[in-house]
Amino acid sequence: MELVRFSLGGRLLRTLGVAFMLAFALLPLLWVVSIALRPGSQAIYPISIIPSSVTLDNVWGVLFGPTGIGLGPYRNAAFYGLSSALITAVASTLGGYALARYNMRSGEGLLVVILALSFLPSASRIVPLFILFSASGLYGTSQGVILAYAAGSTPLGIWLMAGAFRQIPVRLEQAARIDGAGTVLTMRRVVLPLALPGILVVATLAFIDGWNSFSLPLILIPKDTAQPYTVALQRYIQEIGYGINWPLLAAGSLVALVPVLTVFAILQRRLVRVGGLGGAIRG
Amino acid sequence: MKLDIEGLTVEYGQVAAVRGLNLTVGHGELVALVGPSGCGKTTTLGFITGFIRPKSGRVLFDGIDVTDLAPQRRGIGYVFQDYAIYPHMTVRENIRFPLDAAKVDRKKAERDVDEIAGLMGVGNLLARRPHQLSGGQRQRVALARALVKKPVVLLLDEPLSNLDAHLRVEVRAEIRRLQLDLKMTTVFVTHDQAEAMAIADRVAVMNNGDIVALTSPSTLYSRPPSLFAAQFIGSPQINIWATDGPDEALAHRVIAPLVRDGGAGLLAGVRPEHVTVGTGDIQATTTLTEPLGRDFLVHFEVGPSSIRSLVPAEQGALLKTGEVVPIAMERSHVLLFDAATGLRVEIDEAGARRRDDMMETQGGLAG
Repeated sequence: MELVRFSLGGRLLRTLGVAFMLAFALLPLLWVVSIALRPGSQAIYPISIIPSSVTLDNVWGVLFGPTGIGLGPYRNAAFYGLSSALITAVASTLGGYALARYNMRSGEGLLVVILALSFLPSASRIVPLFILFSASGLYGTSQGVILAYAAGSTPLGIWLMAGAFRQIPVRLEQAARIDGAGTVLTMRRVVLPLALPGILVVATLAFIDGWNSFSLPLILIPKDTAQPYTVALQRYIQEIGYGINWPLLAAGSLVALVPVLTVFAILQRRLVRVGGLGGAIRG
Repeated sequence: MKLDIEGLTVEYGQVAAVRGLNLTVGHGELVALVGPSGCGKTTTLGFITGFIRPKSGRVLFDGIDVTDLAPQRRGIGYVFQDYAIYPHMTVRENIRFPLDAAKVDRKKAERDVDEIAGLMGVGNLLARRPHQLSGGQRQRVALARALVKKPVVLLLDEPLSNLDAHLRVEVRAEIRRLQLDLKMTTVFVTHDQAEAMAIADRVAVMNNGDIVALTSPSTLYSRPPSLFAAQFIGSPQINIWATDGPDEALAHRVIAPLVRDGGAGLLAGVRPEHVTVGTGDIQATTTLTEPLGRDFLVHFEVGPSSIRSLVPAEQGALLKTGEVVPIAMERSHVLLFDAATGLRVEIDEAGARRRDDMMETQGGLAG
């Protein structure tokens, strides 16, 4: 790769650009953190940007306090997200492999259509889903929500997995065949280990999608105890007569950030290094 | 094991990649498939492995038809051009993989891996990962993986083409030594005629999807059955002159002393090392001298015809561009070809064209 050298002005411009983008992405986040970690008395107008003291009271309050939402909604979101991630990973692996290895022009066309539809706002899917789920008895069930999540994540997952499989040389599969391995062994020992970074990416994206999902569970899960934190936190916005309960809302959001950041911290290197095929083919 | 390919025809859409090819490789024999790219040699290997379905044709291992057997059940050893070593496994796991697939007892498998790795000189690399290996080491690992299960036939697809030139000669000798030791029935695919000549018991020259010459390297070189084979084998390339066209005068001069009927419709071929410089009745003008080390490749002109000659370095160094020197073609080394069919034409002592000899080389074609 050629190294591009910037002039001093160019570098300054680039640094400013990066700083602006960072600020754009991080400031709302920092604001949430700032609100969540300050005593409730400081969360009223006129508000200071940097709190004069820091406390975990709000976090404690949202998880265990009398007006908190408790651990349940987080557990629900995790269960929905993980289940959806699992289904998405399996379905995407199968579909992606078929797309990458078999000559399926019609399949590719269909996928493009599904992929395009899956980029529509999820709100546009809610009414049809609601009707479908009411008719089929899935309304209000966790299976229904998980299916809806997985159905939303799988098109992109198949697309990504097809790309991941295409990076694995067909020759490695042929080598495995010649070495005497049948389909199952070839998959288990050669193809899937090499596709693992891609599978992790797909599963991670599906999990985060499910974890953050709001409108689908809002409509599809009427029961309080089955709702994920995204829906449960709404009560801090709707409490009549109190306005918006900023400290608990921010604290609840802060808690929701923890698993997302943890997943990224753990998988970061694998996510970046998708592929890992060094040495298979002489470079 | 004896390998037979009978009447192989492979088509990709409307295009025939292989047309009616027959080949027999005897037990412990090494046959090199050589030819220009696109001649069908890799397709033929693909058919032996079972990855390529033919339009027609059979492949037999020791007389048993395996045409419909899945690749994983054929017991073949294969070395890919780019080695296709599993990147996520250690060298040990790579070599052990065929044994794992065959459900060989772990202890015995490890012993076999150690043995073949020692034989291939990669015993000290077993814990490494493929990306930590050099090209030559990867090549040896690929060979060890192909050999560890004691395959019925070894197929090598351009196994040397990714190696440096000096390593290529070394590994080539190693492969040949190993193949002779193990008496392994082997098909070796290459586009490099010198490599094919050096390593093979018999060389099969392929062109346009069929074998056009199949014989021992020395016969192929000295008595090639066809013009294509003569031109493909040997470097620098053989001189060819036609009795019609601009080379007419020179061609007649070379052919006339050999053929009673005057040689109409024939092509004359003389390898550069059989053009001697210093004596002779042809006056040639030196146009270029190229030092090749032991020899010089000297380019001459006689009228409109050009001639390449390989002369010893001490003689070549003395030749100057523009210098006119006498040259001669060694009579016994002049090859004659039928201009229409491209087949070699044999001449008897009386100077008559012989047909029976052509039949013999034709028989060689069918293999």
